[in-house]
Amino acid sequence: MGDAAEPSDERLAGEAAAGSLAAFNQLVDRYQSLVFSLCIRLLGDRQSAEDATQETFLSAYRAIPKFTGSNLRAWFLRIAANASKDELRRRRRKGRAISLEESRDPGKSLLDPPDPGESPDDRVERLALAAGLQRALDALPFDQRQVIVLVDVHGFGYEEVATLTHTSVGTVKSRIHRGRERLRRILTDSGTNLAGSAS
Amino acid sequence: MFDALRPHSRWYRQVDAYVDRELPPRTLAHFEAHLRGCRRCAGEVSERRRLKQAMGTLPAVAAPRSFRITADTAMNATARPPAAQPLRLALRLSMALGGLAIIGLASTVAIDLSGRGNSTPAAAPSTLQASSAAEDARRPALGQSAAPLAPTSQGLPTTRIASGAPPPETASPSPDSGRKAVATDMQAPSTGDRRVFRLVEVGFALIAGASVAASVVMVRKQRRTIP
Repeated sequence: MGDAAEPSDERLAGEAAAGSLAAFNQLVDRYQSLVFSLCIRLLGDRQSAEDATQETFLSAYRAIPKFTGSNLRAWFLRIAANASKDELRRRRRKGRAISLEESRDPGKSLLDPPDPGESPDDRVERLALAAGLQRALDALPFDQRQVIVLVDVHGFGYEEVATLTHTSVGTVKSRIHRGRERLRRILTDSGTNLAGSAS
Repeated sequence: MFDALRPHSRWYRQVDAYVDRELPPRTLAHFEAHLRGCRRCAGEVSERRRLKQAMGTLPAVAAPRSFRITADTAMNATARPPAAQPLRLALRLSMALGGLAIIGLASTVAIDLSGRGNSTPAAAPSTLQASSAAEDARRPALGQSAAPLAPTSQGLPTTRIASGAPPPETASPSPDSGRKAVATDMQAPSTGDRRVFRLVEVGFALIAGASVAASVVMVRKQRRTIP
C-alpha cells in the first residue's frame, strides 16, 4: 500500500522542476546512497566523496528545470561523475593527501556493511579484498577508474557509459581494457588474491 | 609469418567486451570459435571474469548523512550558480574579444589589399611621372615660377611638388635628385606600411586564435558544469 503511494521519479522531477524543494529532497533521499557510492569509489576518501555528493545534488537542483530525459538515475550519476572529477582536480590543486586510512584498516572501513550470515573469517577476507580492490582502483587514472566502476560496480552497459562520460563506445572499450589490465597488474603486485571472489 | 601472433593481438582486445557481453553477435560467434582453440585467450577470459566478479562484490556504501537541500542552500544555489556565472561572463568577454579581433583582422587585410591594388597600377606610370616631375622640380631652381607647373602634376603622386614651394631635395642642382625623391616618396611608405600591416595582422590573428581557443575550452567546461 505504502509502495503504491510512492510517487514516480518522473513525477517528482516534474514537481522539482516546477520549484518544489520537498519533491527534490525526496529524490535526494532516493539517490544519495547511489551517488555517494559512486563518489567514494571514484575518489577513495570519505570527505571528498561527501563534498562531491553535496555538489552533485546542488548542481542537480540548479539544473532540474532543464532536465528532459527519462533516466534520472543515469542523470544523477553523470553529474556525480563530473563532480567527482572536479573534486579530484580541486584536491590535487590544494595538495590534499588521499586518506586511505579507512580502507587500510578493514575493521574501520566504511565500505563494509555487516552481513549477518557471515563468519568472522569470511568477513575479514571480504573486507581485505574490498580494501585491496579500492586501493587498486585509486591507483588507476580517473578515466579508467570511472568506466570500470560504472560497468563493474553499477552495472552500466558500454553505450550508457559512453553517454554518461561524453565519449564514444570505442573509447569506453579501450578504457575498460587498459584499466582492467592495469588493475590486474596492481592486484598481482600487491598480492591481493581474487580466487575467493570467484566462489 | 605474423599469423601466429595475429589472433591474440586481434582477439585479446575483445576479451573485456566478451566478458561484459558487449560483442556484436557476429564478432561473438568468431570470438567463441577462437576461444575453443586458444588456451591463452580462454585463460584471459576466466581471469577477467574473476576480476569483474570481485569488483561486483564491492559493497554499496550507504550515505553517511543526509544530503537534502535546505531552503537556504536552495536560495543560494539558484541566486548564485557557482563558477557558472563568472564562466559565462568570461566566455562572453572572450567571444567579444575574438569577434573584434576577427573584424580587425578582416579590415586590416582589406585595407592592405586595397592599398596594394592601388599602388600596383600607379607604379607603372611612376617612371614617366618621375622624369616629368623631376623636370618640373628643376624649373623653380632655375628661377621659373612654380604656379604654371601645377596643372601638369595634378592627380599624380607628385602633388607635393605642385604645392608651390619646392621641397628641400628639389633645390639640389643634380638632375637625378628629383627623380630619386619622387621614387622614394612612392616606395618608402608602402614598404613601411606593409610591415606595420603584417604586424597588426599577426597581432589580430593571435588574439582571435587565443580567444577562439579560450571560448572552446570554456564552452566545454560549461557543458560539464551544467548538466
